[in-house]
Amino acid sequence: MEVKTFDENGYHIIAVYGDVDASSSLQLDNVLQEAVDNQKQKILVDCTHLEYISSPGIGVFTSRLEDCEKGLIRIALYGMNENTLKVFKILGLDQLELMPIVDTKEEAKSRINDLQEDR
Amino acid sequence: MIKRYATASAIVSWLLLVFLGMVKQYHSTQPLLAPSLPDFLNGLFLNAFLLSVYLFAFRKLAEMEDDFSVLLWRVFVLAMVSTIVSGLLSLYLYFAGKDDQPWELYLRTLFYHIEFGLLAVFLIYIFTTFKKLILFEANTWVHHLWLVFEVALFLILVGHFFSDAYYEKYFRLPLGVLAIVILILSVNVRWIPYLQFNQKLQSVFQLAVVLFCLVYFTANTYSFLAQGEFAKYRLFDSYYIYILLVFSFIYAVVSILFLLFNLPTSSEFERKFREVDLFQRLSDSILESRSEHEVYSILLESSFVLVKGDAAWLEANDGEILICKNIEENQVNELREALYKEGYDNQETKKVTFKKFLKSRKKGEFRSVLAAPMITDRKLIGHLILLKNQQSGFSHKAMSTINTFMAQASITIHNFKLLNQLVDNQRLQNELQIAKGVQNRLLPEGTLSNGHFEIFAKSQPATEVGGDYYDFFKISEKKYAVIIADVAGKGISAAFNMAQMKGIFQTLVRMNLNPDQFLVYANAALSNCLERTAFITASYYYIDAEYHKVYFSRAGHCPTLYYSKATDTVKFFENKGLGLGIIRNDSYANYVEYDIFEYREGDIMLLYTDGLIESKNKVTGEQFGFDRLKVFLEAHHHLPLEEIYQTLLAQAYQFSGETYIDDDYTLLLIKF
Repeated sequence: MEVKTFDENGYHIIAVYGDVDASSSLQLDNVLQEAVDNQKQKILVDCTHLEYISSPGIGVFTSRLEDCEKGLIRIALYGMNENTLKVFKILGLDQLELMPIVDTKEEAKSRINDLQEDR
Repeated sequence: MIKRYATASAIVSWLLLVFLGMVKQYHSTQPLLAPSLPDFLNGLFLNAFLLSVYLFAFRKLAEMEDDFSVLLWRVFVLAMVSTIVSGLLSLYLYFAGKDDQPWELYLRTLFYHIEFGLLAVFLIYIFTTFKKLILFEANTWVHHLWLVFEVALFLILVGHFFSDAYYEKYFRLPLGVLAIVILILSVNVRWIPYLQFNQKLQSVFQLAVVLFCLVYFTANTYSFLAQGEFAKYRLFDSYYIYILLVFSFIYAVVSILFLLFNLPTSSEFERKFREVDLFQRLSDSILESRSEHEVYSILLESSFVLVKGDAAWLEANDGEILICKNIEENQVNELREALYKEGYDNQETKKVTFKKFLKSRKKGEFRSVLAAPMITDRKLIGHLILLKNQQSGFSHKAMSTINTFMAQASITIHNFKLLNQLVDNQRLQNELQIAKGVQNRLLPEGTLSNGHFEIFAKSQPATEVGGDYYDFFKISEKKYAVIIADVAGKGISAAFNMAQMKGIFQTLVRMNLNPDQFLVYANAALSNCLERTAFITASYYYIDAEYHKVYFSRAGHCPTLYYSKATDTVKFFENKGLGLGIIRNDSYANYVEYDIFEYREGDIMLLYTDGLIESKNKVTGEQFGFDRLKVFLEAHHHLPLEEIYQTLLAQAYQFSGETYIDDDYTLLLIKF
């Protein structure tokens, strides 16, 4: 797994490449923690190049739901391939308003902004 | 056995020699009456005697160990005994043998033979003993030379059969050449270094006594030969005896000289032996699985003895003092400072010797120090510091000895650590095996049939323990609950959560809840105890066998595959749901629902975990996936449940191309 992070017009983008297994999920968690620590409020996770994600990898995102609920951060995931999306859907994560899973970056941005307006 | 024959033959041949002597004696006084015996009998009896003695001595020594001081001790005892006996005989002749009795000459003849027998036995025993000494660790060249020597001696024996004239003419071997051979053989004294100091002194004494006996015998023999009063024939004056005498004499002298020269070096040898012994002790200490501290202690004590130090300490890399000997800890700090000031480089140099590093003239101050880093596995783990009161107390030799010793100690400590790790690993492994056993008892395995439906279930963790869980419970006569769950992740932490899930199921199932309520309660219970990133997926089935109805809810778990006999179709139950522990508050209830269906006899439910679905093809990386599973059940629903399980597993392995699946996987089949 490889992770690239960069800021783009006020959005913090985390691009995940390759496979997220049990051990690399720790690394991914650190990246997210860093973003939270640096008060990156709008986080977009680019899953375009995400090949496979294990359950502990998904746990990295779901564990941030509490922070989302408290309004500390907003996270949206986008660009998942079919398999990955299916895994998220089976888990029921597509139902969660707090952590939108969408197709494109633009959609992700707008969903995050919608969330902001809700508050 | 051979020894016994040899002894008997030696005694018999000696008696025959005595008889021969007596006859000759009689013959000399009564030349006309006595029968004349053929000359070759001389040689026959003599050779038989000599060879028998040789054979005896040879066998006797072959049985004995190469313990040189014992070998020499035996020669010494034999020399003493034969000399004393011979001396007593001479004394008797000197005091009592003055009368000119007719039997007097016969007595002398008997004594003459006894003397000869003693000398021959003594010489031959020395010969065989020295042979053993000379050939000890000798090269083949020396072995060959020895063979030449023995062949020459044998040739002389052959000469005994002939008359004196022939003997003198043809069997007078070049004594000069033999003397050279003997000299060359005599420098083979490799046994000497193996003796300890006091053993060497003892050997010198013993050999000196043997030399004295040899001289005595030679003198005695000549005095006998000089007495012309009784008939003589060739016994003592055989070249064989001469050569043995010369050989024994030379080798004894050479050995004494070598022993004397070697005396000063013996202590060095003994020191080396002690070092080896200490090395051995250090290595042994780990085998007796002592503590690391004890290994250090042996290292310090051994080094201390090796260099005859006055004080020493051993410290770990971080400066923690492990052991002190004859020194206080506060003194250590002071000395350590001085040591580093003098340039002790604990990183690279293996050893630095300091001379007069403390200028103080006070008594009892340490004036020389030897510091050695202890490096195992390329990591510095500590230092050994040895101290002495006198200046320049440590020689180069001591330094190199300590160097070797440290290397050995480092290996020992490294091995010790490895051994400890191994023991720890083994302990963990054992505990994992116990955990595996415990987990197995949490999962009801195998086939179960209750008249309403049949269940087959099996779970296989990727490592010893896993996070997959399934269970079934009979709520009442016709009501049953079935659950399958999968903890995110695998290994120990997953196993703990799995056990947790079992507790929750066994508690909630008795409350007769709707499946969605069950999940809400389970989520609430898990919210408090799951670690932040963990969650659990589950499917809960409530089977009412009375009305042939199934109520079920899905908490993010892989959708159950269902075969309907009536329509002969296979489909997934994809109802709404969310994994347990993802939302950790009351709003979780919004994300789950429950569904109902009616079953018919022959319908099959296939519950599973994602380990199976996500097993990947080794080459393409493609996942087994849901579609393959569906196609599989369409094709194999007619099989007995266990066979469905076996076939599916075989297909999954075949698909992945591996011999194992790198995740926990579980299958639970229900046939109505």
